[in-house]
Amino acid sequence: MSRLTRQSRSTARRSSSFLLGTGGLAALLCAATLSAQAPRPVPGLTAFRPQYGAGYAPFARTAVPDALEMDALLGPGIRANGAGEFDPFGEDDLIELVVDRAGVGGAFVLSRTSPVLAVWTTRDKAAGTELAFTGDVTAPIQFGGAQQATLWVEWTGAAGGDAILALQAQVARRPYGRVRFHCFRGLVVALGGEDQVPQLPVDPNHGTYIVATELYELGWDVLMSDEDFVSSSGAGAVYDEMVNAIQYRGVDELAIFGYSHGGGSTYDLCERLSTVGAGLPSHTIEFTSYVDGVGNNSDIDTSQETRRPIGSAYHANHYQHGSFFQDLGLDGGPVTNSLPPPTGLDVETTPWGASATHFVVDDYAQVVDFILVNLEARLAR
Amino acid sequence: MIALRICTVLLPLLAFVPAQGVGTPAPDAELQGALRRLAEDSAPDELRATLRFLDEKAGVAHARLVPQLLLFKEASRSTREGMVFGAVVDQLRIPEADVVAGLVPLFEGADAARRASLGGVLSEYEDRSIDRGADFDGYRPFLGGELPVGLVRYLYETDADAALLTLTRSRALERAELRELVLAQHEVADLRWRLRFGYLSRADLPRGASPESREALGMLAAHGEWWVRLAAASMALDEPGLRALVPLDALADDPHALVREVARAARGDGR
Repeated sequence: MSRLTRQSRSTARRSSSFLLGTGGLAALLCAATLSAQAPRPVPGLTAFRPQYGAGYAPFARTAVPDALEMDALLGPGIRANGAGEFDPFGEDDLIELVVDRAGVGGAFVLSRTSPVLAVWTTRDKAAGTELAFTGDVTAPIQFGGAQQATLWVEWTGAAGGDAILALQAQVARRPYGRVRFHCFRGLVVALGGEDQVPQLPVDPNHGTYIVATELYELGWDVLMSDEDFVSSSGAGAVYDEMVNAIQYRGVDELAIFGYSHGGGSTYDLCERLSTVGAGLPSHTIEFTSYVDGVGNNSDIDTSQETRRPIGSAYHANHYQHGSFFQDLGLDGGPVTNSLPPPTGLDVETTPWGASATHFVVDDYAQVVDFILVNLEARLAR
Repeated sequence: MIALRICTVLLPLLAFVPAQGVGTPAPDAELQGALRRLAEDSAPDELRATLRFLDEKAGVAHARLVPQLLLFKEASRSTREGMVFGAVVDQLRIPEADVVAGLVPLFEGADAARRASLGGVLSEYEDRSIDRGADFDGYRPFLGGELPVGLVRYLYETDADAALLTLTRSRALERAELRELVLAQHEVADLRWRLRFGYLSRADLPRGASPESREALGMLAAHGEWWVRLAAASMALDEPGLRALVPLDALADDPHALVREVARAARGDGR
């Protein structure tokens, strides 16, 4: 399985590069990893991908590649910290920013292109830890004798757009690093199968979470969750977070996908959004996917999930068929108006998936890549 | 028919258990071993034999097997293990009534994790509709006599509107009282529906609540039956907008421990 996974990750990055037309994204990511670990030759800034709850788990703390820090699409995304937001997982909307003085003396300051950006020295906005800006320039950054200082960036205004933070020497105003933050418009929701719990490092047999981790590293805001947090009516912590994002963070595009019971929960979330969520600010479900979707009325539901998710603009579907003696009789099935057309793909009709069972169908590189490539092409970051 | 079967199942079960239920069942090594074999990628003949074994050892109305399936589910660490419960229910054609009767006693004394795992299974039979709410009719055979507090807690935690309605219809109430409670439930459910679907916002409360819904919440909170007062406390816990409409301070000193606990949680005292 790990062979499939490695192949998948490599293919996915190639796919991203192709779709974005930038070329060499894998090389950039690799270079970023190295640069984040090695001493910088000159002072600079390193921004990170979003937090979740009290830290980064179930994702790894991931630096945005240096070469992408000014990219309005692939650079650091940031959640609008909207008024009224109820932060279901705690205050986790600030983005970590490491300032490295790289042995250069003198004082450093930050400048910003918009007052929408606030900067704190604490991740949870402790009282008295916000950096004051005067004319959009801070006072000297306090390094406390260290080479690096960790700051936390907040998007305080209305959702939408981007803004830049720049590091410069206070006296000479010599510019060093710059980072462009763009406000997230999209949210990805990834739901595993029964008893698949998101973990770090990602389990190579959890194909859904492999896709989710890949998307996180590529700059999307990803909510990766156990499907138990979605009840059969769609209610629960995942739905609450989606509502919070739409209502208070300016998110207007969603992607939801899941494997097995996670497929059933994908349907349940879309159904709830189409009913209870009808009064929410404008939003669209740009992408959904089932991999061997099983209805999720309960933990013992073994029915096929073959209903198309309500309101989905694009639905991918992969499934296999078996018997109790192969895989406890757990199957997905064809879903009307799904991709590949017309009803999705029975992977057992392909050479690579001919021996599929329910318990491996989510791990095939071809399935993982299909989700990655088609989601990337449709969902705004 | 389901109710009749549940009664049939309960009679032998109740003979072995205290009034407040069985609590945590002990793992049955014989059955757990068989379930473990099902979760392994075994040959068809072996799987057939294991199914036959489980069928033979399931007990009257599957009363021995069903709690063991729950224990196995709670310990599962993979999708294959996690789906064994459902696969066995399918293969042995275990009726809904047997699953319900085998699990309901486990609510008594159950902690939040156990209630969640029980709910994760029982939701199969509750039809938790977005528009209509849950259907708890399958529990009515358990709600006629001395009330099982653990089950009542679970029902209110899952869907307070449906819980109140089901309890009201399960108790031997005078017709006038039954009608009064059904009407009160309807008034409060309508208020909660308006909040859920955005026809009313929390900021509109308490002034935006209809006089009928205010009166209904007051009546529920002051009712002589603890399970009715629990409805008021549970609805306030579930929907913060209702907290100003429910006399939570009075309910926080209620004679019934569960009402006190829920009211204090709604008031922000923690559970």
